[in-house]
Amino acid sequence: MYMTDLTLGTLELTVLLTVSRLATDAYGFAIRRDIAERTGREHSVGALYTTLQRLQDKGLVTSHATAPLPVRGGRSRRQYKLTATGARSLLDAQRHAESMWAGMGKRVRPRLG
Amino acid sequence: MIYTSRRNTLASIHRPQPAAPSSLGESILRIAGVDQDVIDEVLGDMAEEYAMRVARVGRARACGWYLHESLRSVPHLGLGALRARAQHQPTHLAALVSVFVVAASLVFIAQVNADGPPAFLTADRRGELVVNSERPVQLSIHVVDAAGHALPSSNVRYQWTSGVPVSVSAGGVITCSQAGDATVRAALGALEARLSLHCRPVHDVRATVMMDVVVGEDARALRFEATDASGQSVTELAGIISIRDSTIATLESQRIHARAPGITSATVSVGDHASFTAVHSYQRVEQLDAIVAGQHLAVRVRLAPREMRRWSIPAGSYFLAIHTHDNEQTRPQLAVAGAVCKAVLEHFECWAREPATVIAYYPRNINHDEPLTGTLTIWRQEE
Repeated sequence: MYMTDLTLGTLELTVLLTVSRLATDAYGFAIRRDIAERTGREHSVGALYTTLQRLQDKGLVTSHATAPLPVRGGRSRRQYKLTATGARSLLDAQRHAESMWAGMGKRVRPRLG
Repeated sequence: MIYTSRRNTLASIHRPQPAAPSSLGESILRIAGVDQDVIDEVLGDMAEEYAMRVARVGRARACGWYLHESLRSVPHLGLGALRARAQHQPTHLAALVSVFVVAASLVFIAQVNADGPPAFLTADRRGELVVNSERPVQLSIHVVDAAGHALPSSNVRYQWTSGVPVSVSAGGVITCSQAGDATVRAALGALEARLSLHCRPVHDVRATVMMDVVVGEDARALRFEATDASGQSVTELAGIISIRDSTIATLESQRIHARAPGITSATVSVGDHASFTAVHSYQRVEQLDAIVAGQHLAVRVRLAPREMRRWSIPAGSYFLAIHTHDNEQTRPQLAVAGAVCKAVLEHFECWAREPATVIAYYPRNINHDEPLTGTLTIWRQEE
């Protein structure tokens, strides 16, 4: 079985799952809001961007800038997309979690974008 | 770096709405040494969230969030910038560390002072509320966060749940149309509190017209009565008693305490009604023959059975009364020789053209041998 050698922190895993879940709508504000709705915890914008940068440095996500938008005061969005390495990382994390949670609770299977 | 520069593109673009305080956030992040491209990314996200929060909680609170979030982001973004720059420009390290110490302090201050989400609904007097007004009354409840900071309560919604019928608007305006108890539920999201209403509508309040107090003696109860529309006495009251001139008299619970001779007034306000009492404060003396116009004097009276005491007073206009302790029914009797008098409630109003004599005597129809005590008060009116 192939496994990536990248270790994901809790917030990294959370953000990576959210990028996967939001698919084409994965950008800073949407990711932050989705995490807040699901976990009830509001991470700072700074923490989120630092994490996204780390994920991109690890090659788990890629990004591109959209056209400037009025709703953002004329600034563009940076859209994030899960890479193949990122998807493998999520599967590894899931397997690891499942092996630890085996027989203890409900299984979690992330939907990859 | 994952961010690519778009500054040339942005320079030619008009930035319409929303009017987030982006210059402030930009300044904070720039001071922290954050790259301009990252600043644009972060502020773009914050502008979107700011617009959403303005619609949801209003501009003032959204501005507070914006400032708080800008400061909160400094440690993460600044450290990222610090790491990147330290690799290429080590001389900037000390300056940037200083900036982060300041920023961390600001973040700490912002965290301590920032309002959190509503955590409790609290009511005054443990939610027990006596309502004496016949008119609509606004209920009030306090919304506080976990740290005890007061939050706006305008979004609290109210609903009658049990008891006598009481008109309750969603905004908390109630009308007590009949006497009885009712329960009202106040809710804000998942938070809720119960208010126990004691509807006791008051139709009229009547206080004694005039009361006398003596400096150095015990405080006296201010007598007043509240009645409902049918004339029945209402005893459960929530009102205010106030004294106009506290150098003359002060309040001790519902009792009036004399501080200096003179005249002031007490006002009793209950529900939609108020009543007014003239408060005369007297100075204790032994003799009355030197009383001058405007002066308030009092002498202590102690009479054995069949005893009589006299005090000379100059010509003039007077208000006189004999007072005993609040619970004493039998009191010395009062007469004025050489003056024309008329009874005004518990007082005599007298006119003396010549020097006259005030007489206190033991009532003839009292058969016991106990002495009677009291206080004679006399106010010589201005000529």
